[in-house]
Amino acid sequence: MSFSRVAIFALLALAVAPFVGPGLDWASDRDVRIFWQLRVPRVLLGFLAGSGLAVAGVVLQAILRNPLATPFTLGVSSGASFGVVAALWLGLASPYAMPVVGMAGAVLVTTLTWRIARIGGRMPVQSLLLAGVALTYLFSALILLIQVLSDPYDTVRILRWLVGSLETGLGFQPVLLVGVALAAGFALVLPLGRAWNAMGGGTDAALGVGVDVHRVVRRGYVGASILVGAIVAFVGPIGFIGLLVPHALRLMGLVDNRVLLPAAAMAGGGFLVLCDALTNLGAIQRLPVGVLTHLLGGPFFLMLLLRKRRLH
Amino acid sequence: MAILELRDATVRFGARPVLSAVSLAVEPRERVALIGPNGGGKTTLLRALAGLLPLDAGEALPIGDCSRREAAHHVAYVPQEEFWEFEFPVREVVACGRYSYTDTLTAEREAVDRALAAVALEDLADRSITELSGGERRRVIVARALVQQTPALLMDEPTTALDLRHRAAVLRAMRSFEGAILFATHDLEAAARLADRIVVLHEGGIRTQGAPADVLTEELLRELFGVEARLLRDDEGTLHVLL
Repeated sequence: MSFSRVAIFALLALAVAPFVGPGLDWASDRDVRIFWQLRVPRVLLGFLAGSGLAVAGVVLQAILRNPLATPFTLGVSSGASFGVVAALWLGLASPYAMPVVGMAGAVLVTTLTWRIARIGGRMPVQSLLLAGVALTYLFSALILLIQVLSDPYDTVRILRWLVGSLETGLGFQPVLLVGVALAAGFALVLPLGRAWNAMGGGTDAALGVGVDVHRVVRRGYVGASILVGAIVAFVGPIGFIGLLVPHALRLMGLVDNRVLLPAAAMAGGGFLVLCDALTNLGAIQRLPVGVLTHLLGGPFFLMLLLRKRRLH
Repeated sequence: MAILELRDATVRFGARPVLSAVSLAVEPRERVALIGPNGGGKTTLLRALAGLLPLDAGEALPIGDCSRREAAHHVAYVPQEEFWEFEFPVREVVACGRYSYTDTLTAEREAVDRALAAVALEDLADRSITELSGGERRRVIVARALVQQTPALLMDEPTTALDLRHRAAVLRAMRSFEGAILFATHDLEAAARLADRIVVLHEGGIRTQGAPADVLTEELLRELFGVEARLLRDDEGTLHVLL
């Protein structure tokens, strides 16, 4: 029941979002081009980004057995952000160069975390967490350093980018690239729902029922890194979605990861598309969508919490 | 042939040996109780036999040579306590025991229902694991082990800290289990009643082992635990420990 509601929400958001904003004259070639070449790819990119971030959130929460884990906990996002910020600082601000350097940053941090966390052939969750958190701090510090060294104009651009926005201006290319990354990431993590469930009781519980925990952790980590690296490289570290969409779905009763993962893919996509559509409206026009995800998501989440409390 | 076996197993935590060259074999359908003071290596021995921790020396058979999937078909492990972070329904926690099988939904559901019935938890099937009491949670974990349908079961203090109702339910499930059970316990009366053999583990090594009547003596309790206890056997042969 809850799952079908989530699916309907996602489809509605996808169908309605391209039409939100200043009215278009369908007789004008210019407006038709705006619709197909700007609004539609932006909505699709938003859906893919929201999907990937929400799924990465579910995966990292399952791996780390911590509901407060986010797609950004293990440093991949700060690596990607560092790449993009460094590109802006070095004057490589072309819309093509930034995502490439961003993805390079994500790969760098993923590889570093992997190498530091691996002990023998195993990847203990605790060392993965410690290595990821340490690298997050390191790369966040490097981003701050660049901001301090930049001129005021670049500092503002960096700040805006760090909030997260779907304004890439690149048409369908990011949609295709993020789409490929999503297909790869989802192929790695979506089939592992039951294994994530078993890990809910800890490593021994999962090993005891036959889960190859080390393989599942590695696969989840690589899958989430592909998702987060590609998404952040294009649209910036859009916050909230990866943390609270999984929580909101759990509050709706979708706890089983075999259902939660696809539900998060739809709800995360729908939520980001909806938030971005609102930034096309009058007073808040051109507000980076990352601001709105927090502004809307916080109260929505509190509402769910209060409703659940009343039910108890 | 033994269903579970340790050969000269050594496990160290840092420089400290927790198990020192321990050899132990459990035969099919045998009930073995593992007793001894806290910190004597009981949990480590169980986890080593379940293949949950690597040995520094020696062998765990057959688990040491198995994939995780094969191991889960051979032996199930019930830890002393297990904490769940997310609000999974009890039914799904138990169903995780079928992870290494390829069941149809109906077959899985029937297996889970049977396991829940064996620990008298049918009524809690749809409740969240995080809402249960410690005793109820222990029974859920026993049900998850039963649903694995293994020929051997390892249980770490299965009755400790349980009230009479939960204790009775767990003991009933243990009695009706048809395979071998190796269980660590401080419940000497349950050990004497359920076990064919008692193994005394002390400071990482096997101190002594044998039939309960031969092993459980007042001298042994004095030596192991430093207490003056009296052991009484009633007319039905049930052991009582009086402090």
